[in-house]
Amino acid sequence: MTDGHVKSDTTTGVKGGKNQQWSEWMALAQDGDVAAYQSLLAAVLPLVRAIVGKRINDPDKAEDIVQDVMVSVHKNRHTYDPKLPFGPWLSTIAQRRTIDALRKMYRQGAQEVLVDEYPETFLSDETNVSPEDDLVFALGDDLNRALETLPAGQRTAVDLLKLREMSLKEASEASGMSVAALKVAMHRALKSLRAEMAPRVEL
Amino acid sequence: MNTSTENLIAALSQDLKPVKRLPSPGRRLLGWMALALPVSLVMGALVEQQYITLAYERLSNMRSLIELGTILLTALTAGYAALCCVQPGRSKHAWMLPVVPFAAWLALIGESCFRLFEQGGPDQFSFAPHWTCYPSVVATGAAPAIVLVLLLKRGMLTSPTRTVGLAALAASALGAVGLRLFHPPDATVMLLLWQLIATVTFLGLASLVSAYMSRRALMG
Repeated sequence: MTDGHVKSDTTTGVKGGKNQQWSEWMALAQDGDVAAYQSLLAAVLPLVRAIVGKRINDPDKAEDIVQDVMVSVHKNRHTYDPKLPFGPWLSTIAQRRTIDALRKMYRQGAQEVLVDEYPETFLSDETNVSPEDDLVFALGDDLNRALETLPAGQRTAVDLLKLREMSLKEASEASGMSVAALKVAMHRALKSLRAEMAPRVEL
Repeated sequence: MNTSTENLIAALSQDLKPVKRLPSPGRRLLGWMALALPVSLVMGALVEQQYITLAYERLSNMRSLIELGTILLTALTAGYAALCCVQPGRSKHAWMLPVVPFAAWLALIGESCFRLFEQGGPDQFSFAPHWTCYPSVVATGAAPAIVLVLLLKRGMLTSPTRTVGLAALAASALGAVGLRLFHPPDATVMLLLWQLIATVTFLGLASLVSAYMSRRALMG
């Protein structure tokens, strides 16, 4: 039976001298030598970045994964056998962590949907305008009739925020309602209008 | 260098404590065999007490000996390959080691089935669950699976699917040694299937227990 040793280090491109030095540093680090460990981690960082960078284009995400790799190296340093070259040991961990991160990214990507506009309203004015508004306002009489069915607070919110195009702050000062109350009233008003006008237009 | 990565390296270095190196896969394999095989055999003998003499018959029969050899070799090579899988930097081709012995084992099972078919036709084969076999399967398979999981947990899981597959094969094969010695029905595909199912169950349970214990140890 073979002993499973990796004889060459062609996969990582790490030269023999470097490998030897890293191997010695790791052996010392396994015995608790802080200086050797610091030198090793600083020395291998470019190689880890290169391995991660091959698969991850986003520099911020890549750096996060590099840090994950460094933590894995730390947690699994007992698995290194000083008789073996250091490069394959390190590259196996770096590749594993990169693949784990890619899988996580794909999983998250499958759960997320890109949208043109957010369903919630936010404080800034720009987020409170949508193409739906133009369509609703174009319906003139229907809209006026629907507005009359709304409670006073909701009607005020629509009047100030949509028809007079005030900002939330301005509408708050004009109506005496708080910004939060205006947002809630606007949200409810839109919901009621949507229900009221649904037979006439698909919003 | 990115400042946060630099800080991380500084923090990891400050946290440095001496560690006990993981022994080579060969040494861990020896440990596994030394602990799991005797327990598996004793458990198998206890469960199948009435057939204890069967072991002598099978050990004196050349064909049975060859079959036991291939099973043991499958256990050794698959166990070694699984242990290589949890030590980064070891050969990525170690998984191929059990291919030949496992193929030989399957070939011998196939040949047994063929002989059985020639003697009695298709009526000789039953793929229904043999519940009477299950105590023997559990008795012989538990120790190899549990000890192997404990050994694998000390390493780093770099290729989970391959490691679990190899570990299941190794533990099943080692359990099958005891089963082959003491269990009366001839080793058929059905028995092997039962052995694999039982081993995967043990591996899963042992992993859960081990993960729970690790979490408790971390929480102090």
